[in-house]
Amino acid sequence: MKRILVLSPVTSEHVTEVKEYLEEAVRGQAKVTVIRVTRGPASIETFFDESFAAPELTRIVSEMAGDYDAVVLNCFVDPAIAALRELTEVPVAGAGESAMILASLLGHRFSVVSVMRNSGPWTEIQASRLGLGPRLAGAVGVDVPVLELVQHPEEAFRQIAKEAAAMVESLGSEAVVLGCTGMVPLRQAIQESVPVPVVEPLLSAVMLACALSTCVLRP
Amino acid sequence: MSRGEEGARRLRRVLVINPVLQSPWDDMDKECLDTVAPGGFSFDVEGLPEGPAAIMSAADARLAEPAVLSLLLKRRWDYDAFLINCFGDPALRPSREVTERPVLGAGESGLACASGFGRRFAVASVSDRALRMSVEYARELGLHGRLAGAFTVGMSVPDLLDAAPRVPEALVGAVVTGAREHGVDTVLLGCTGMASMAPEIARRTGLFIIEPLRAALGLVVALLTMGLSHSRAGLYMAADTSKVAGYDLGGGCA
Repeated sequence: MKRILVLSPVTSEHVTEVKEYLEEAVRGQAKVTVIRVTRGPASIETFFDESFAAPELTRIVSEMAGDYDAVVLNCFVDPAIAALRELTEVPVAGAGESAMILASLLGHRFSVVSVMRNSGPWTEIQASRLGLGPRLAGAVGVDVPVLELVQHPEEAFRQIAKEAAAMVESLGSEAVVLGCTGMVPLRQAIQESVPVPVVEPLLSAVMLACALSTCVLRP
Repeated sequence: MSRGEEGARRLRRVLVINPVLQSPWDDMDKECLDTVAPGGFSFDVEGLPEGPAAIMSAADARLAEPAVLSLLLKRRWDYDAFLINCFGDPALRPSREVTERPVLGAGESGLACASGFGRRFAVASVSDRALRMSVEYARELGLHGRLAGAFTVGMSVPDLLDAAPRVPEALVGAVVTGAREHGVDTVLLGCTGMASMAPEIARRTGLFIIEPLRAALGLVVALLTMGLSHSRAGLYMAADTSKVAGYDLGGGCA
């Protein structure tokens, strides 16, 4: 079984809930260890937040990645991922990249619904780094801070579902990507609100991490 | 979470279609897949009763498509997902028009995994035509952001079949040279005929080697685990199989 290290780059993460969710989802395929940073931002919404998440992320990956088959970054912006990949030969899967890569297998173009005003532009940068710019139909943030989303999911759900359905209708996107790992508990409900596949980024990263640990042969 | 206990425990069966004439590769591929398949997933491998012996060009790929689609249609209720075991992904898009179950190709899957691995990579191809097709395909898919380029390995598909699982020194040399010329430490093998050779190629070149059949396996496991399949909302609308005459298609619309 694959040994996957899931790293939450925010101090507010509920690691027990994340671990239970993932263990149920990947039972029989992987053994998941979930940890979070103890120093850094409470949530990641800005490049500033990302800069202050990076030191702990680089320290943890340097110290721990070698004991695992793959590392998962539990945050859609894939914070500091280029730096982390320099520090280990073990595959590092980011939630944002992984979700968009999986979405690209499902239809012509996908859209991303995320949290903040800057989410749309930021997601576009991430997509273009991969080459997926033309496959991104649109990316939008519903302007709800991450911590509020996590504490009051039902209210955020209405806005997210509405935006997701609107993008499918107006842009013809054939899949919807949830653009924040804080939205994971809402996946099922959002799937019931739109007629296209809804891609959840945390499980996307864990599954891509498993795939990479199988298909990347290391010297 | 969304799956019931029963769904989570049920064995998922995947059919791997080798889009070339049936050959000893079918058994070799099954061995490779059985070694890496996670618990809860089983893989069958089938080659074609008629078709090209190898796929190294666009014309070869087109020759294979009717037989791939015939086989898929015959088996469409017997499996939970389908893999097309060739870097050229012959018949991948039409396959998605005739089944709602996941269909993945080794080419797209290899490029997707290479992109998700994140290091700049080059593709190792089996012919000049295959090389050009691979680069164009990566651009078409939007999975070319980290693609540095492609090179040929100096062995044809029949050469690889003769050699496998043994890895000739010339192949190792070609991969090392190709990677150095493109300034990369990661090579995506551009032919699934090298699947059994991949671990040794990695050891002897000192490079990261991404193997596309394993990539397809990993991604089909991902889609089945997540309950995802291709959308019917746009690109992959249902094909009307009754429109085609002169071929044995097993009848019925998708």
